[in-house]
Amino acid sequence: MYISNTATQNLLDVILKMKVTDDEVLFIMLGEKDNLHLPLFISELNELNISFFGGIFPGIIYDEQKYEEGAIVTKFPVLGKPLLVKGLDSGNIDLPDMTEILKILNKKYAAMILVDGLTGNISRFLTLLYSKLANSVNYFGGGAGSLTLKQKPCIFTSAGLFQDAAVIVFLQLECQLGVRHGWERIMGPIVATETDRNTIIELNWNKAFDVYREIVERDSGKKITANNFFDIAKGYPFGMLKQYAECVVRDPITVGSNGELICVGEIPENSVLDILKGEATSLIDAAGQAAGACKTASGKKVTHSFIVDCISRVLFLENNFYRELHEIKTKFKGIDQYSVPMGMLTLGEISSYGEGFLEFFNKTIVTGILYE
Amino acid sequence: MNRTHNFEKAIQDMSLLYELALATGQSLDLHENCDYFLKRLMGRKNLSYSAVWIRDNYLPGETDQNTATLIYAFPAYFPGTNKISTDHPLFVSIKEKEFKIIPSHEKEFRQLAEDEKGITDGTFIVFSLGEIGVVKLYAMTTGECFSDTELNQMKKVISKFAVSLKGCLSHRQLLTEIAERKKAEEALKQSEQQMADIINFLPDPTFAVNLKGEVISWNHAIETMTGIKAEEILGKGNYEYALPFFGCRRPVIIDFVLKPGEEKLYLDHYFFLQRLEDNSLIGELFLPLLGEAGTFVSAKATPLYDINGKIIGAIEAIRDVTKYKKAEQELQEAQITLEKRVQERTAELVKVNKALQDEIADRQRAETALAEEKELLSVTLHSIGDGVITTDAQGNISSINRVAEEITGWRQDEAGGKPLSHIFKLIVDEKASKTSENPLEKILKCDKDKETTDHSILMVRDNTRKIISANAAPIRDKKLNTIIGYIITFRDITEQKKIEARLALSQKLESIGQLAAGIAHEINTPMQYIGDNTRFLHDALIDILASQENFRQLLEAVEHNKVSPAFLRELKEKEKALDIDYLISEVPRAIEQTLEGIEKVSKIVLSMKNFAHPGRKEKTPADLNKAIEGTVTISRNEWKYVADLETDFDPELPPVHCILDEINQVILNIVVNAAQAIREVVEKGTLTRGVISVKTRKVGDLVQIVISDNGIGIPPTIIDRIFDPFFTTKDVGKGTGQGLTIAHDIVVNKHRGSIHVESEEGKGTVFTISLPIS
Repeated sequence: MYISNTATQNLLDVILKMKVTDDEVLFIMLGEKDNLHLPLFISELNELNISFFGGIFPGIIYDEQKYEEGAIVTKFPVLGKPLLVKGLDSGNIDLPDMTEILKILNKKYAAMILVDGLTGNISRFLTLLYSKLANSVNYFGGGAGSLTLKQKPCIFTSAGLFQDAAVIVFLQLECQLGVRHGWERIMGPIVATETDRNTIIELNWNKAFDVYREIVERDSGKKITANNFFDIAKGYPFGMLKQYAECVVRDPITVGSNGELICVGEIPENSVLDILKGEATSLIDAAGQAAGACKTASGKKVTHSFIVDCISRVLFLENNFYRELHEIKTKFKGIDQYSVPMGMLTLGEISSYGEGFLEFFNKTIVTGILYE
Repeated sequence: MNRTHNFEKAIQDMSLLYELALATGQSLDLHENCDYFLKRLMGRKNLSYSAVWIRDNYLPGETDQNTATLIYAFPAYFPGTNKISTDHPLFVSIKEKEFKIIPSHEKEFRQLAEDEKGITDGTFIVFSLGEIGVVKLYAMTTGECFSDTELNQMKKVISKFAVSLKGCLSHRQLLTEIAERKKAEEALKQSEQQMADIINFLPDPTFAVNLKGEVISWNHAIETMTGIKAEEILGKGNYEYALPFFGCRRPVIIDFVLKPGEEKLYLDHYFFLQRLEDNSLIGELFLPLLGEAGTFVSAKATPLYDINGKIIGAIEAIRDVTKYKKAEQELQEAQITLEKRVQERTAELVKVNKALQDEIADRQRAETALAEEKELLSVTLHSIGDGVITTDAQGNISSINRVAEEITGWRQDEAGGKPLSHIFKLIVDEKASKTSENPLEKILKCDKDKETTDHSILMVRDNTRKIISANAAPIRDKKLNTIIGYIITFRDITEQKKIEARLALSQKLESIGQLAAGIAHEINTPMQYIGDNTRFLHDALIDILASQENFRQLLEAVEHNKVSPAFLRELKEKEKALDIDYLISEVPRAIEQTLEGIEKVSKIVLSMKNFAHPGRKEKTPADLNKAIEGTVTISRNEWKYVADLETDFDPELPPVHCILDEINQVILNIVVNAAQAIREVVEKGTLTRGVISVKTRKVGDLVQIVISDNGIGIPPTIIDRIFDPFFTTKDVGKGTGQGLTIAHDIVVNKHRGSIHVESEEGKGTVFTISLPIS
């Protein structure tokens, strides 16, 4: 449920009424502009012996609304305590022991993954996780953090509040997932001839920004400057080709001093890219398709209707974003008439694409119906 | 429109092909190369699993052509095995094909899925990597995975990937070879270090040269012998090593090993020079430049072989045998002197007492043994080199040299890898034939406690016993400062010990010989008056019997009333002539004197027997006062003409744990020396008679025997040398110079006591012997 009054005591009162049992974990999504005193709140929850995890996001979604303040709290039955992974920025990622979990996992269950969306090595973390668990579980989640793109602690568990961290929670719920973005190719292929993790240095052996600017200015009819880069670029992301599926979107968010483009998420060198363009209609349609992809959960005892939506879609769609939420809710209602969608606006989205590789997406919507 | 679309599709495919082609060969590391390419492929083609199997004969260190190994798999979650036969369906499925698509509805899918966990449906796509192996891909979709165009693209890309894998495998092979070479070099270095440590540890001066004749090793002992440090000579050739020995550059034994035949030109430089079957050479020579008065050395040189049996140099060990040479000479002299003396004295001794004849018989046996000993000594002197065994840190044998093989009876090929205790059986309980379970620890402990290990008895392969002198030390890894093994050096000193024992016996017999005349005199004196008295008693008895006859005749005359005055006068005359009163007063005295004489002789004989008879060789509690008294008795003739001997024995002296036979020898040596020192003063006329004082006392845990004299004293210039072997101030033939050396050895080494001397020239000498009570 969404709680606008996040005074610690009020929030605790609500949580106490939820009666979180030992087999359950409390999930808290906080809007980045909320004033909750998190360290105190964490301490109080620990006092109450409640297992919990959560994140601070650019926004949170409840029903057909988005919020930058307040909190959404819910609880999940789980297979184990939340697993915290720290120090993602160092590259020496040490995944916790999952031997016991692996024994009880099956393909129906879901794993929620929250990650500091502004840390490094997210792809490496996901690759390691996928190598360990493969398709033994359905993954969904996204990047926490601030829309200001200034990195701050944003992931929390009973162990505290962390940045450069991730948390993995194995839910004792089955799920159906949908992943779509709706961005369409306007130009390509071009080759990222030189990259460094999430930075594109060269496109087609030329400075990345020069190539990108030429294409986008031609399509948009607008001059790109340092000041308006984000405003224009949010409508022209890159797409990495993925056969038999939508391409994986990479969102350029800023330009470096040497004309390099800095994106959310990694772009491997020599990747074949397209430049994409968004139209409100296609994005909203895609959101509907993502929600509709969960339809096999129809008739099940649904516990959660979940949305992980990229904050850049909000920025791009502006007021049309509510149409996207409405479209999703409509589709969810078709699956479960009592469905009240909830979720978070993220810096990057996480899901296994269909049944394949675990990916870190941008400008994408991940929908999930969780059921018993 | 359709044409445009096709054109764009073609461009897109080409771009993707370009991306994938560039993703191959990104690293020479096999795993990284696979990771880079296959993850890109999986990402672009939306695959769930990829694996690379390589035939084992293409992997470094593997030769099996019939098996293959999984060298890459992503996700690591899936693989259930990492080794399969090349008859496995995975390999069979693409025999003579470039690829094969196997969807889950085909039977073959199940066979392939057995190697992965949790794969029940979907599609396998298997590509050949040519002769080196296969790539196994998996997509969860059961529909058509790839179009023909895509398959053709992938076929091309994977063929490039196969080439890059060959490069990686060659690189890995190279790295393995480099690593093995480095490992071999490290092992060689370690081996060289170990060899240097072993050579350094050897007690004998030792050096080694390479084929160029350059010094490659020069141990501590040879540094001490020559005064030349290793760093001054290592790497030098041109017979540099001959300089400290000969004063000029010339071939030495080590060179004759490397240049067989050359030794013939130098035979006259050696007492003997012999080439053995194993191509080693032993020789003995005198080096006038070495030491103050030159040195007799025994040298042995042996070729050094590499692992292929090729000669790579030679090693020479040198042993200072001056001491043994002198011992040999002294033994010969001692034997001649002893023989002469014994011959002289034997005649007298035979007359005096049968007990002494027994002792002479012992001496004769000793003579025979000495003759045998001479032969054994010769063998000992001619053998050089110590037994060397090295072990790993756990005490398992790494190497055993030829000398060690000879001593233990075990060959390297039999002993290698076995625990040291298997071949190195140190007797800890002779009666029970029990051997030490951990001989290494025993030797190390002896080294640590500074105890001699000369008493160690080694039970060799044929169960015979050998006395050995052994030392052990750890071999350390100098970088890590960890113990990586142990080195045990030992020599068979059975023969040496026999020589020492014989030398001691020789000296003892010399003492007996020296004392014999005196003892004969000591016995002769009482025997003379025993004879006189016996003869007197014999005459007295005849007179008493005659007197008895007179008395019988008187009784008969009285019975027959025939006693006439004339008869009585005749009887009185007879009785007067017999002087019976004299006999009555003298016979008891004569008997008393005779008994005293007999007692005196018995005492001397018993003392002699106690002194000379080889007694128990183990330590037993003994009454030192009684022993010293006996020794004083048999030496009486040595001092009685020039000195008085005073004893002051502590009546409370506790029994001392000692080998009494040996302690007797020490006391006798010192008492005889004291008498001789006084005699010199008496002969000079500065003193008419001296005093030898022997005291015993208990001081703490020790018993002290203090023997002092007021003889000529020992000059300060030689007092430090009196315990040196073969040092003597006596005239030739009067002493072997072994007396005090043996005394020192007996007290200090065998009894862990001390012997201390104080002397003032012209005033006298005090020897203080301290022995632990237990």
